[in-house]
Amino acid sequence: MVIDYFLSPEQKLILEVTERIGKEYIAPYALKWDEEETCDPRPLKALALADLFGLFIPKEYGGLGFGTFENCLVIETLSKYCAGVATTFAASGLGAYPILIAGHKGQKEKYLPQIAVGKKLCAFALTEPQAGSDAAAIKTTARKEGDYYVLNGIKQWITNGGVADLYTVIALTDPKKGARGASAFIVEKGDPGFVIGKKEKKMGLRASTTTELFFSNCRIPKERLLGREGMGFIIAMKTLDLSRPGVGAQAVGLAQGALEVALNHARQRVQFGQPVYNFQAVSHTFAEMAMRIEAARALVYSAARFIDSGAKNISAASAMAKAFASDVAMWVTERAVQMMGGFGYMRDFPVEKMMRDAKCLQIYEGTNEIQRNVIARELPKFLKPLEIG
Amino acid sequence: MRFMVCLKPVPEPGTVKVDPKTHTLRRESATLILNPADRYALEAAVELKEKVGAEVTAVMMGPPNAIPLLKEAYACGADNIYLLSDRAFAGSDTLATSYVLSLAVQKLGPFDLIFCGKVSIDGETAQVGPELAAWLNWPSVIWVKDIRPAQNGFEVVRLTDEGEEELEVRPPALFTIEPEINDPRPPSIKRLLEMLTREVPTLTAEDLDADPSHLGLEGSPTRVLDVFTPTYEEKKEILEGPAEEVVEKLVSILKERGLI
Amino acid sequence: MAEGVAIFAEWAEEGLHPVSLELLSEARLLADELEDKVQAYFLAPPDKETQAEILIRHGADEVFYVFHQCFEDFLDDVASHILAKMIRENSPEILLFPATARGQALAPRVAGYLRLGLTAHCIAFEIRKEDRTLVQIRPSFGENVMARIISLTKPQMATVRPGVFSKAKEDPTRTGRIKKIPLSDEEVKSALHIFKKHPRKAPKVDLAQARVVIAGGRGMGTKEFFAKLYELAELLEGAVGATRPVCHLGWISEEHMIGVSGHTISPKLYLGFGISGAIHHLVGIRNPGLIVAVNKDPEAPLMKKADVAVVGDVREILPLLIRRLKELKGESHEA
Repeated sequence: MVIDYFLSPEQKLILEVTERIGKEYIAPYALKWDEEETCDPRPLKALALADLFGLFIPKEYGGLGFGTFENCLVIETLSKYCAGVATTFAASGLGAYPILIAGHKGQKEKYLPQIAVGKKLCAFALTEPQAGSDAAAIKTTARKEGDYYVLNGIKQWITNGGVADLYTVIALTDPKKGARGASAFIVEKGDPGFVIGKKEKKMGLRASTTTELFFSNCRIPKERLLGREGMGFIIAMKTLDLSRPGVGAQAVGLAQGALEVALNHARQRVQFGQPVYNFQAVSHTFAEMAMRIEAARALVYSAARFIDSGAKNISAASAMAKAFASDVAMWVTERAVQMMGGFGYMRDFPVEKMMRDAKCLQIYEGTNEIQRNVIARELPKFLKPLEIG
Repeated sequence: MRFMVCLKPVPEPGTVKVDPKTHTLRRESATLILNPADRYALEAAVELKEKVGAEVTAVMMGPPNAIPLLKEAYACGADNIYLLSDRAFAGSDTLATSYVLSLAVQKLGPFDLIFCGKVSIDGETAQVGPELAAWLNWPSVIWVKDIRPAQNGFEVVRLTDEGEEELEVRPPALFTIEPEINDPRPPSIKRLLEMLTREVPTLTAEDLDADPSHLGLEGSPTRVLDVFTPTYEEKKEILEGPAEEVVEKLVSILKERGLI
Repeated sequence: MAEGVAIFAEWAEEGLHPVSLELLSEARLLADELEDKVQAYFLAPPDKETQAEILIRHGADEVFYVFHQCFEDFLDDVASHILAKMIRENSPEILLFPATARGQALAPRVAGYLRLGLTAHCIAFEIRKEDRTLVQIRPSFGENVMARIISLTKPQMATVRPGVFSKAKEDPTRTGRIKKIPLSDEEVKSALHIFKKHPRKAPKVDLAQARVVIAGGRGMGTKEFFAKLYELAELLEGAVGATRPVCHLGWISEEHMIGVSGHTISPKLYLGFGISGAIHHLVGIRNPGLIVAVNKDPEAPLMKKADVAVVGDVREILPLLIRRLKELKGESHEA
């Protein structure tokens, strides 16, 4: 980190513990988990024992009571070591946000303390086979039957599918109204009619698990409804607004990791009688990588602190942080591979994994094209006509 | 039940300085870390506490700048933490160190079990644990890789040169812990935050009613006379250049020598 | 008046531990220099006098054979009590222990009871004639140097790893005194009760005997890459060893540690990858044949000590070497 962000003693402490988890519980195994596509419980247990699953959960519910900014610090640090593990962690946070945003006291008291201590992992289920970028096209339904809702439908590409214990699921309670007829529900692992589908084979982020979810007459008590009927889409969008800087932070950490690995290599790799870092074509590339990473970090941190200030119009800032940082991560990781030449291309070294991992960050939690739609849509709100002359 | 864990601050490898006169470590100059083996001892005590219900007291003999390591021990599950610190302790060898620890046992006890790491990464003597047991006249078991509560105390599994042995142990007893026993947890951030503003109690030689003749350099029967650098004769072959050529050359040397 | 160079002769399950004969050979040298006698403390089950005689034939002048059925097992508290009592009575000048599991459990307890100095894992001894002082040599704490250490108390106690000294030669004509000391049941009461033994199933990592040792250090980078050493070890029919930091990182169990608190090895071929060569590791390599070191840093101590110093990245060299050796094996199969 070239720029000092004046972290508080508490934030420094969080960072130190996360660094340690990265070094001791993740770094030695990251390549193995990627190779074997395993979501290992050991780093998750370490994160739980360090209280990190309670990072942004209010103290009254057993959490640490921090905010988006601290969440970004943790996700960034974990991503430096393995963006896959960071995905599992961040996606659990994503799944917990709807409860924080829309849950009533009883629901919060029931679920948040268990989430905070890492006893229950979460997942967020919005995407469906025919509803990706066009999230409003979801077809999963939730029909009210007395004291129950009955869910039917398929969710696709759900991070933490099968690993999570709690799923916040967006489903239509009034299919006629489209997106405005959507509602959010908590579905628990083991609910009747709820089945986890097959594990997807991914390009990157292979230490995290992605599956389909099937609901066939899945009956859940009506107390599992979050907020009111029809609020589902608003809850989902608010959730994504809160979580997107986290994807940006993931991108910053990943890019930082690639920079550190490649820089170390370039300073030691001797060709033509000197370290390759001495060649301007190489050193300038590193300068460019470092500049872009710092710019991305500054944007992500600013967006996160903006959100934590209680600001309302956060969609554009959140989308900018996500799209900009993930584009930087893709560029930086690709350059890192190039700077390491043949070594970069080998699976013995982490940068090729980082490059594969980076690609997903441009796609999930809203593609970067969708992020630009969001930014463009929001821009007029911030626009005051400038008159000169 | 009450457990004690003995912790040692050790210099992070590469940061140590040595007193040119006494050849003892100048701990105040180094970046200190918790001796890696001691983390398994702490975890073993905390896991056993979680099983049988107990109170875990962690003590560390060291300079005041080791206090963050004790806070870390608190964050990893110790209930009480104490620093044993006094200028008079400086230069202690294992006998003098185990004497001070035995005083802490008397002061803070009674304890049912004492947990020590298997070996420290600086001194590497693995002596303090059993020596402490001798000062207390307690039984000790080294290289313990499993501890279970049993009817009259505990059942433990220890490594031996021939394999493993299962023993019944009547407390009080001291164990030195094998790293394979557990997977030490990271510190709890909640407990670390609690410690941000908390003072850590320190016990001095006077607090411990120590006999000065047993302390520090004076109380240490071993002395470092001098140090020397072993010399190696230069007879070497240096292989440099592109990896493929280097490997080819190495293989031919191994062949020549009949090693492959 | 203190007299005698004493060793703890270890009873291991069904006989004398071979390290006892290594300690005897060194004790004999020290005693001859001091013009003193060699004593052995031998705690064993009854009717093992023939074992005590072996000690005499290998250089002991006096054997204190303390016997009781309980010595079938190793009970830390009983053994240390008895030994401390005998040492107090006989007050030898020097007392050497093997740094075996039993020796490491026992020596510090005895030192603690008798308030004596104790030096762990010595690799050599010298006698300072003028005051009959035992100078104990071991790697110094935290420095890449050796330290000469003395003890101000007597007996001067030290432990020595198996493999450091060579075994004493047998002399069938040697005579000596065996003092048989029976113990009462009262004297052997223990807080420990051994109720089950599990002999090691897989043969213990026999680094001490290995012809080829492949060792790795922190420079290997990751546990996964470190594991590549097993592949090379299989090709060369060698054993895998490691430096202390690597064991602490959990890349490999401590059973594979070479050096101060690990194994002492004497292979025909030693291949060290990513090892800087801290003295703590180097002292574990005794009388090696060929030492090959692979390291980026040509100034690393192991590179200085090596017969063949390969300057390069282990990540490049090791996979290439494995590939090349596999090709060679393939060739020889075809031939």
